[in-house]
Amino acid sequence: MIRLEQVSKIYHPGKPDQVIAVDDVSLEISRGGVTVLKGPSGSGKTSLLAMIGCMSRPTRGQIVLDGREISRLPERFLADIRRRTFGFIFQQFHLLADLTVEENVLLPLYPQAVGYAEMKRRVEQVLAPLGLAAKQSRKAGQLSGGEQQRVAVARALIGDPEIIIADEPTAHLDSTLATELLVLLGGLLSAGRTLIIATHDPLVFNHHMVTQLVSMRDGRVLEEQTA
Amino acid sequence: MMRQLKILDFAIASLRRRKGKSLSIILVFAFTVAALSSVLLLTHALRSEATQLLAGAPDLVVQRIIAGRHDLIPGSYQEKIEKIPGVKAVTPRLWGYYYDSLTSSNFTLLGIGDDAPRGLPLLAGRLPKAPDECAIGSGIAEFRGVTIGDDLYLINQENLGVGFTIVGLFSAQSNLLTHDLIILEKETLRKFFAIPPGLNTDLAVAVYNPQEVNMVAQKIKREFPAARPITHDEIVRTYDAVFNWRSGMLLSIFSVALVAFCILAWDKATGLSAEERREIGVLKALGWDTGDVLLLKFWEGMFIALTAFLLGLTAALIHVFWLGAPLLAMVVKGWSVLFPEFRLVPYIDLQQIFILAFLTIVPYLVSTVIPCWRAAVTDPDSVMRG
Amino acid sequence: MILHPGILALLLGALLVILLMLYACIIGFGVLRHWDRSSYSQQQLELERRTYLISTMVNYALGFQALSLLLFIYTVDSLHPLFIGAMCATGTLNANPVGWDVLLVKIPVFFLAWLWVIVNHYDLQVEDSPLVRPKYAALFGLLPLVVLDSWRQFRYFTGLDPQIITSCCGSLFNQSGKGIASSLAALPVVPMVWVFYLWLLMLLILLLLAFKFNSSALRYLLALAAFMLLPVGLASVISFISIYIYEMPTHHCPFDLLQGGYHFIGYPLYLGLFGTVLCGLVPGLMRLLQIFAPGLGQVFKKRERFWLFSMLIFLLLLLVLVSRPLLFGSFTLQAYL
Repeated sequence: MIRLEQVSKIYHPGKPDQVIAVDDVSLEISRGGVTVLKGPSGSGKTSLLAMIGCMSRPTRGQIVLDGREISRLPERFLADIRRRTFGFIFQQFHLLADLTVEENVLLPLYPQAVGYAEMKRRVEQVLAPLGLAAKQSRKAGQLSGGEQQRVAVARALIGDPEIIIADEPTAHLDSTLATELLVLLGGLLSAGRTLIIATHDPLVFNHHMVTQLVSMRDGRVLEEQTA
Repeated sequence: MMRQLKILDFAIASLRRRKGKSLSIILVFAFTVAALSSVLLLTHALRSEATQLLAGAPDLVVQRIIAGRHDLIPGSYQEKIEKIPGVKAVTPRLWGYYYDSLTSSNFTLLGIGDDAPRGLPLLAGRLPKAPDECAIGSGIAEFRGVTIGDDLYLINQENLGVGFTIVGLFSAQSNLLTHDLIILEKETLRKFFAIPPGLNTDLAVAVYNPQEVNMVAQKIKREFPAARPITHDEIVRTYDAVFNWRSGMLLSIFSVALVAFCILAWDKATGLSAEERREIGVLKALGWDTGDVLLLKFWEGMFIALTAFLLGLTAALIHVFWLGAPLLAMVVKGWSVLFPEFRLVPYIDLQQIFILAFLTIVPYLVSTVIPCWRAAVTDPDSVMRG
Repeated sequence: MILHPGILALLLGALLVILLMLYACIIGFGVLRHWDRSSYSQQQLELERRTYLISTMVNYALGFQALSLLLFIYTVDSLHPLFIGAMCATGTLNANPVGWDVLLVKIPVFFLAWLWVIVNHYDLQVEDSPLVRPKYAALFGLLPLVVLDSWRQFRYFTGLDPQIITSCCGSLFNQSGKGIASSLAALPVVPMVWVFYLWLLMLLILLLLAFKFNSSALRYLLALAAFMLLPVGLASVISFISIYIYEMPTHHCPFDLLQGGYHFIGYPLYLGLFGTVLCGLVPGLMRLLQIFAPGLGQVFKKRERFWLFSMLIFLLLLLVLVSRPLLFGSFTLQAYL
């Protein structure tokens, strides 16, 4: 349902500091699976992920999401797609430390026409299964690493997205926490969601739930394996 | 609607999280507003006091000027002016300034006959009826430390002390008029100043049709080249122009402060901390559009502006009406020639507030437009690129 | 020149509006030149982002312009004691020959700016923003008007001299005088009442038809009729609405309505009038633009009812405010006819 056709991303094109981050990538990602973009840092996986997640537009090529060509949409339409279709888990999680857990989780909902009662309901719905119900009004900065990771997951889920995008989710975690996170992500998968993960952590790309493994180097796809 | 409300919510929360920065800008802004408001409120209050003062003034006052010097006016003027068509009545007025060496201040002595002056509310007592009685304004009562029943001693033209029993005290409402006023009987005053009979200080002329005042004034001028007619409107306009001009000048000066503030606001808004930049990046990544961030910044600015405005306005109200505008004393000194020290009657005019809001909030918003936009167009993928 | 705080505020506001508009135009020019919807380039992205800046600045400028229209009337009204013969805003406006010209530009600028902001709002909701070029071209048209407005306002205020003896509403809106104002005041009351109510009735019928039928012609008619309501309404205010509110057969002033003595009735009255005109213009204008930009029609389709409904509310507000003194006031023209 996501199709990339000869997608390239070039920063500062035509200038001396030109960087070709993604070079002529064609890829198809299907619903309900786990796609992992694997490669060393600088291989273009994050740039590709940003384009898939409607955060940036390709310099060339087309991206088709559910039959809709989105590569040239104005940013405000991309923002709209982003919050309706995707949930994001960032490297380092990017929680706002002096906001409470509840506020952090609600961030994607503020610009949407969702009432206060509905927001409250959704927060509880998302936090309870993650064991965070009691920490709702704690500041995010006061949480342990494991808790922060679960808040990040909760925030990705608050808009009830079909697709979860995770960028190096285990990069700063010890193996216990990393395993814990993978269990959480596995849980999302069984709820019918699609996962797209960029990583260079073997713990992730060797995991049994991965259905599509894309190896990247220098902005190009080296190899694509499907389970 | 929902979106506006929630983003406003979030804006207030963000400001609260950045207490130091928000407070510093609110305080500086509030100070600018307070300075501007003080000027505006003070001049406006002075003007309305003056209007009140002039409400009871006669349509036309005729003085006699000899070689540019004010002189006593003879009774013959009165008879001739009374014959000018359109003139309702001519009342001779007897008054004079009195330098009190004891308190080194100037008093105004006014003589009254059967024609008691209009619109002077007495706080207590009554107007003088006997030659040895007087009524005084609150300023004199304060300076001299006297009250009803006491005797007020003044030095007359023969350099002798004369005592008057105080029978009346004016209320503070009409402070501007009566602050330094001593009222005596007409004949007592004549004796006190040694003004020859038949002469008066000036003439108050009442006319039937206010629109004919200028006509009557011209006729008087033609009849008596030494007469100087002053119309009521002339006085009102002079006062109005003086006050508008004064406050305009002051506002222009203080607008420099406003400009300085706008530069500060620009600087503060441009100098986003790394943390704030990251925060906007996170919001954009999570699906906030540029428009949403602009709205957030707008509400932040609005909240700061309104809070600072209310704070500044309150400070100005306290400064002007409660404390008597001590910080503007330098400028007020110019006015104190016109006015004695007095307490302004507190009052709030919507138009004043509107003008003040326009003068302060609008420049602030304008000076933050571009910095806010810069922040709002942060790349959504900036957080991923680290 | 009178250094009244209100005048200072207005001049400052005008300066800021010009700055905003000028900057918006400069950026708009860049956007006009390089705009290429089909481009993937970073430059196109930059241009898209600049459109936000332009929108924000024009929105601000419009907001300030609306406030300054209010402030202008306010200030002019409060200046009247400075002029011999002036008893309200009319007298102050007469004190300098360009006084009325200021209003003559201010009001059209106000409407045009509103329409621009509304069109811009809907255009941004279409994926390819089809009206980018015409919009920014229109911005260049708006700029000279804004400058003219500020310039006239500046000339007006600097030319004010308290020595001037002016005539006030009593003589300007005097039925026996000459000139437009007087002839408006001299419009026979009874036929004018008929014209006003028939016009409102026609608008109401057109409006209800527009609710029911999706015809474009109907919307053009509605826009035309709404546009004409502006002169009809203003003439009615001077000719008969004023005298019923003041309860005086010779008092035709359109500004005294705004004073506290008449419970500030003028504000909701003019809100009703201007609101009806503006909301009536929007559906027709959008239909017209749809011919060039079909995408706009898709977006506006859902919002059209909002404008029609708003127009209905403003229309009813106007109707109630005008009819109340006519029907229930103790004043009657019977004795004067």
